[in-house]
Amino acid sequence: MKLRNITIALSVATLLFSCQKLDQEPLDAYNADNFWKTEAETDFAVTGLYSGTRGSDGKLAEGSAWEDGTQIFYMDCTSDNSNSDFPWEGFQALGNGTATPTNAGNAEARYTYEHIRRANYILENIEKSPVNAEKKKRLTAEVRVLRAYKYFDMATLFGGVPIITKTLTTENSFVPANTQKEVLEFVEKELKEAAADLSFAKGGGRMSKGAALGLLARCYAFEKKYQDVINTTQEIISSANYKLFDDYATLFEEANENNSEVMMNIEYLVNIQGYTSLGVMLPNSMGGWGSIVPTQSLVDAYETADGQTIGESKSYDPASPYEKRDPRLGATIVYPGALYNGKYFDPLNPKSEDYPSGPDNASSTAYNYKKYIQNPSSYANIWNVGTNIIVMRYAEMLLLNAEAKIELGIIDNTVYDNIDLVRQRAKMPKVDKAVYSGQSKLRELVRRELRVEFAGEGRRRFDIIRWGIAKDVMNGPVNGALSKGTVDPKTGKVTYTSLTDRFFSENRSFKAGKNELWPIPQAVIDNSKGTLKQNVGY
Amino acid sequence: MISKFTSNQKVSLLAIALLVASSQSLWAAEMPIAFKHTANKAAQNQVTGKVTAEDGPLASATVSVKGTSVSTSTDAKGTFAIRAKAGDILLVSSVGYKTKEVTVTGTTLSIQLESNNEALEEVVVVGFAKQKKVNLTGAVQAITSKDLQDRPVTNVSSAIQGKFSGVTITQNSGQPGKDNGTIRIRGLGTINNANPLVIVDGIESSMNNINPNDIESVSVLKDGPSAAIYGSKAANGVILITTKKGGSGKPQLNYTGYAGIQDPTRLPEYMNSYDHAVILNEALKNEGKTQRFSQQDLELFKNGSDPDGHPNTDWLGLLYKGSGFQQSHNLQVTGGTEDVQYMASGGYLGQKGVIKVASSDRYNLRTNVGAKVSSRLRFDLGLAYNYQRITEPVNPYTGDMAQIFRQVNRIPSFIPYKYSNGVYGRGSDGNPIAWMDLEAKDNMTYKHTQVNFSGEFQIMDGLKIKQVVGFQPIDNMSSKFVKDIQYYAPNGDLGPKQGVNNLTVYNFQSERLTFQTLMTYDKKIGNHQINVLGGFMDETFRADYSSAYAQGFLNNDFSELNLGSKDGMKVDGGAKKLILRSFFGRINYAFADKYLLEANVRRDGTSRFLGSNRWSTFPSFSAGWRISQEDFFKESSLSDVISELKLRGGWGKLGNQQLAATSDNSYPSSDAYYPGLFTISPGYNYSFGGEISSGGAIVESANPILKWESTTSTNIGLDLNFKNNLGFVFEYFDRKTDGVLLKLPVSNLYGLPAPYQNAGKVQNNGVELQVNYQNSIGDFKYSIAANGSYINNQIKKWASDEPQVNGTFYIYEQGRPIRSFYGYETAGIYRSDEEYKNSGIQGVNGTVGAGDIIYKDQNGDKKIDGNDRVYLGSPDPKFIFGLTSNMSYKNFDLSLFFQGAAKVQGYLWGEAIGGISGSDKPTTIFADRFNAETNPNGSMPRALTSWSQNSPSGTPSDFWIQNASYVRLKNITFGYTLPKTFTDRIGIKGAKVYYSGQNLLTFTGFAKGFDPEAPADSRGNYYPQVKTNVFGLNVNF
Repeated sequence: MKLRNITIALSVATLLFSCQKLDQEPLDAYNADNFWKTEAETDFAVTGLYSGTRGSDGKLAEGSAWEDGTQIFYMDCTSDNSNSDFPWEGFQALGNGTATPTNAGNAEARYTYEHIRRANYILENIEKSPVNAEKKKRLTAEVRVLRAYKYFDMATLFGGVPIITKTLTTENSFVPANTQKEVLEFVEKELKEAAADLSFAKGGGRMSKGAALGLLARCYAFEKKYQDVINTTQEIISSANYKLFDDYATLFEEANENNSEVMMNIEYLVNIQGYTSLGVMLPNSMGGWGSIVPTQSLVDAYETADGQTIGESKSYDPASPYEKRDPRLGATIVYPGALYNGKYFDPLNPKSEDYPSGPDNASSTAYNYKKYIQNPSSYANIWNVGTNIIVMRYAEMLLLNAEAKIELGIIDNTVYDNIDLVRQRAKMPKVDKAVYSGQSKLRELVRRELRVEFAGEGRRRFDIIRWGIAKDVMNGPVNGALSKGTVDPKTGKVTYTSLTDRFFSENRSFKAGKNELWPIPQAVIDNSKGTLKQNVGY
Repeated sequence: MISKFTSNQKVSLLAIALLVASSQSLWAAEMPIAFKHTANKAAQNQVTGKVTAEDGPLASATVSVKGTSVSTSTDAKGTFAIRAKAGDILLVSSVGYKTKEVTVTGTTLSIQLESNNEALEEVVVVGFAKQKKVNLTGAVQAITSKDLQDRPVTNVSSAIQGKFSGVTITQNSGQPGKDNGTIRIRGLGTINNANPLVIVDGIESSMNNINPNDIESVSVLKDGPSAAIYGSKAANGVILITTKKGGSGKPQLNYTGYAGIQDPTRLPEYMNSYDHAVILNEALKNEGKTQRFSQQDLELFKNGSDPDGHPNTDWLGLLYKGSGFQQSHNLQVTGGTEDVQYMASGGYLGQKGVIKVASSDRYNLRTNVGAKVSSRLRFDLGLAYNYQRITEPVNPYTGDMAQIFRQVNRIPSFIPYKYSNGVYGRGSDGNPIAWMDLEAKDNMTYKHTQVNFSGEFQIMDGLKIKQVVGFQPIDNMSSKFVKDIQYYAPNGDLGPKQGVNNLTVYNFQSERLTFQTLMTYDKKIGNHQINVLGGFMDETFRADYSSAYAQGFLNNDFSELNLGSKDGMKVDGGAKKLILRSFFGRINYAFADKYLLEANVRRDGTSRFLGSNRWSTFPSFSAGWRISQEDFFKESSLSDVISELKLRGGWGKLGNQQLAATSDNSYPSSDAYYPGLFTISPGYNYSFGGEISSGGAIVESANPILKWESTTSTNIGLDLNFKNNLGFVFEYFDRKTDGVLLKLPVSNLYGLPAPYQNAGKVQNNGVELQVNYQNSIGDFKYSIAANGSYINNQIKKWASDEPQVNGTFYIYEQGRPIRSFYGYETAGIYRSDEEYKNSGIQGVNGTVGAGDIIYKDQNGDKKIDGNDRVYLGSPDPKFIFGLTSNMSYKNFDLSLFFQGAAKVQGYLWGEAIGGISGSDKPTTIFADRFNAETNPNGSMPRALTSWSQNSPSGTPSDFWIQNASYVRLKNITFGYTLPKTFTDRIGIKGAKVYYSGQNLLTFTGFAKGFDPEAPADSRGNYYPQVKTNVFGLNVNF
């Protein structure tokens, strides 16, 4: 039968025709087995380390990078500088002391080995790469600084964590924690070695020698190794690679990014890889979320313009609490009656969109942050900006240097000079040496200086923990501005009807011996099959 | 756009050309009819005989000679005598039996009549074949086009909802074009893809591609043995859809159509502005915060005299302003000769949403042509083309539709829609009706083609080979333009702006090419009936997508990519390919139609896994025993009432290799195609010094030893039919899924998300019952078909013995259903601060007091934290049921269809419950809140704004669990068939007019305003379910 033959032939033909191999190579990702063959591939992998976290869809989480601007800004909510008004954003419970292993909020985002694994993967493979020895040395050092940053972060937040320096398999990833001390020693060693292989040259967002040494100084400060802090910060100061930027208010603006003061930052590129959460700080009336709000405690920390505390100064008028103050207050915080975005900020009128008991997104304290957002209308879209967010800047080195000397009782002119450099840049008078002479008075000063200089930059938690003062400043009510009064929409003049009634956010509690560390998320403990132990008190 | 359409026109032209060419050649091959009755020349005058039925001699049967008036009837012994000659044809008939034609060949005849009990003769479509229903050994249930007609259903899943026992279909949305239900056959077996395999005319396809009017029959293969032949994708059951084929005779033209209106089934009720202002003040007071509204404010809300400052805005009323108009028109032609049959149909379904902008227009074209080239060779071609345009509104805040529903259910009634000066009011997140006024849209176009070409050749008697080629290209495009909006303060000052306007164009293409070679051998020797099937199947699936994004358009009027700002343009894309290959075989053996045996084996390979794990073998066996065919049964008195009694049983194993459920209409990004390989994902870029550098990282982990997930199922069934047309089908099933492809939690030190592993075991078991009855009283005919199922879903083994929390509301725990709600158990409300203090238990936070929910301290550690959470129920129903009743009296017919579920829980949170804070609004259930002074016995917790101790999302608890059991009058249809005298006069063959209503009545205790079929844990931000009232017309020309 001819037809029969045709049919059989057809069937056989389709059989053969259809037989593509079941072995299929991925079409839209690189097979890791065939990587590390070119210099471009090496750059590709290192860039991937600087990049951000994996989103739930497997792609880069929007607005994330090796460090996240959001983490920097919200971090102050776990200190007495700021309050987080919304429990679901993950910082409120860490701020008010109610965080538990099962409700650990942002601790879940912070207890992560995601970037550490990426770093280990590069360190394991970069030898194979055909790049020249010098570049290999630099890239290796950059990777180690970035990895050390992650370890240092976890050590300060969680205490002891396992030190992992190899890519693990699922089976061998059950490793007990090292002690906090061991992790900090590891960080020191890594940073020292990496700093030796790096130059101060600002590599446009890359980890430099300055970044490595700055981080090392922080690490020493945390360990109270004051002489090491002095030596390290001195190396940075002596290198003369950094200097304070002239204007405090605009230091953080996009126009001045990568300025002479910046030692380490997260680089964003508007619309292409922009920072997408700056709007969370804006007042409700401007379409913001009021997520991170300054506290009264922070406002009170700013000195008056004559260089005295509000308790001491005669120029301070409780009925005009924001007048004649440290210019950094106005550069950092939007307060009732402040001229902001062409209008006088009015959170006191119950009809106002910024009234704390009004809409949800109105700040609970009647304050909002304006650092990084001096002029909101300068951003075409506040939800996607190119502003680089500073992780470390030179002013911190000057103050750490001064602080370490004060702690060691070496009170020489460099102490005053370093503090004055920072104060004068902010248009504040020099330190009154008559008032601030002894160790304890100077300690008070340098700590206040650190607080107001870096308010809203996520540094405060680190400081109150290492100084051991968290139990004093993290207990009790979080208050906001005076609540009864009016703001003249034409002049911004605030008239109060009560000088005692304040807006109230929440009550906080801080248990010494427990809350210095965050709870390790329960899932981390569960997934460790008994190798990891919960922090004391949780 | 223009070039897009031309390329499609080309495709359609090509398809039409092919069709014409093929049908012409088929007609050309028409052959003379080969066989004719040859009359026996021998003539006799008297013929005697005996008429029997299955259970013995048949009395009073009518025997007549065809074409004459000669007629007689049988006596009590079934015998007859009639005048006839050899070659005459005798017609033998009797009530309840099929009329039989017998050619006279001798002088004595023995004639057996077959019962016309349709159930016994019914043929059911099963895997790669048709089988007599009585010969089935597995759990197969089928319905025909009759069960689907005259209903305003918009898609196949809602058409078959409630029709099948053991098949749970949940329709979560009434959105035009996106109202497909979720289908689960015999429970949820896996957390991966739990969707059944859908086969249309022998080729894997999708329910979205079918016009319900084109369906001839739907079979559901529920158990392992019957689904086994589809092994690699059949673990969740198989739905076989057969489309209408041509018949023989003159062309028949049929029109069916309807038009009507949809409305939301249930909408939530929120507090008016006065009540909200009162409760908000109360809440602020409870938290020690400054009150927001003065007495004067409250008065103004109450008397409504200040619509600008103190409005009472009906946000839902402003949103649900769409016409809801729905219409459907279908034309179908069938016809053919003995050698060539054809069917061609065209359909249109148009839906306007219950909100503006939302709409769908769907066009379906289908043609099936079959031709017998010779007595041995047959070709069939099926072509279907579906074109659908779906439009939905989008918003400038999040760029999707859901947020519009969310904000409407959120924005307080004390915010005005517009001030009297025309300025929009605004909540923290914007103004959802202002968004709607922008008419910003996502325009989606779906173009699905299905080509199905097969040739069948009979090699020798009983031995056939069939070659099938299936090709399905899908070509989708969507164009979403988000418009920006500038708000103003009430006094006209510039306010905030939402969104930069932006356009996302998304192109998706996929191609599924399937080859099947089937060899069948059918042989009957005496009482032995053997059917053998052997086959090979190869499937190549490739999906590609590209997307482009541009923003910063000069204004909101122009929305093509080339007009966007160069700054911020983004492109993305990707491709995936999957190959599946299978060899399979089946043997059916029947002895004397009494003992039935079936065995299947299938060997499947997939490109997804590596090495030897790529291939797996899946066997199955089943057997049936038709007890009613046994002599002892026939002789017993049972045979007087029972016409069919059959016991069936089977065991089978099926596989699954798919890692996530995917949709036909978008790139399968969630389904890992290379889970065994470590890959470096691109897109992990970074900006160094203001310039973007490309980067990548390993962000997924791989497991090279991943293999097939297997499902083993056991089924025992009993078929029982009584002679009075009452029928029962009873099934017991037990389905175990083993090696469930899970992402088991891994140590966080690993640094990557968990890889897939074969772990976990899930069991579904239960029983199903179908009951059918039909009868008539004079001209009144009625039938009832009911089905009910009990399904018990249970995790037998999971990651470890420790329960694994899954998101905010769920847990995976051994002994519990896969989808299990997880949270705190509650014990009422603290009626005083003392009651809380005296309990000695530290609440979830520091602000617990009178009026707060009491959570149970499960572990007795005197504090409430995550460790006190327990299992709280499941959103998957334990019982499902459906009941269809058809009645007719003369020209009138009425059909009622009820459907429901029981022992099922729902969880509502967020806007579905509502909040008090003033960024959201409370539902009216908060009217009965606890208040120490005014309502100390309130059923709801006290009013709070930001404290989260009673929050359904912050502290999930059984306080918010709702009983989601329901019974729903899914459909009622009342029809009138025009009298023949009338239709003859106007020159048509027949016509019917009807009214039909869908989702009209619902009986449920579920939360007021929410549909019990609502998504399992819902914040109420979805397009609501709709009810539909239509008038329709069917005409046969």
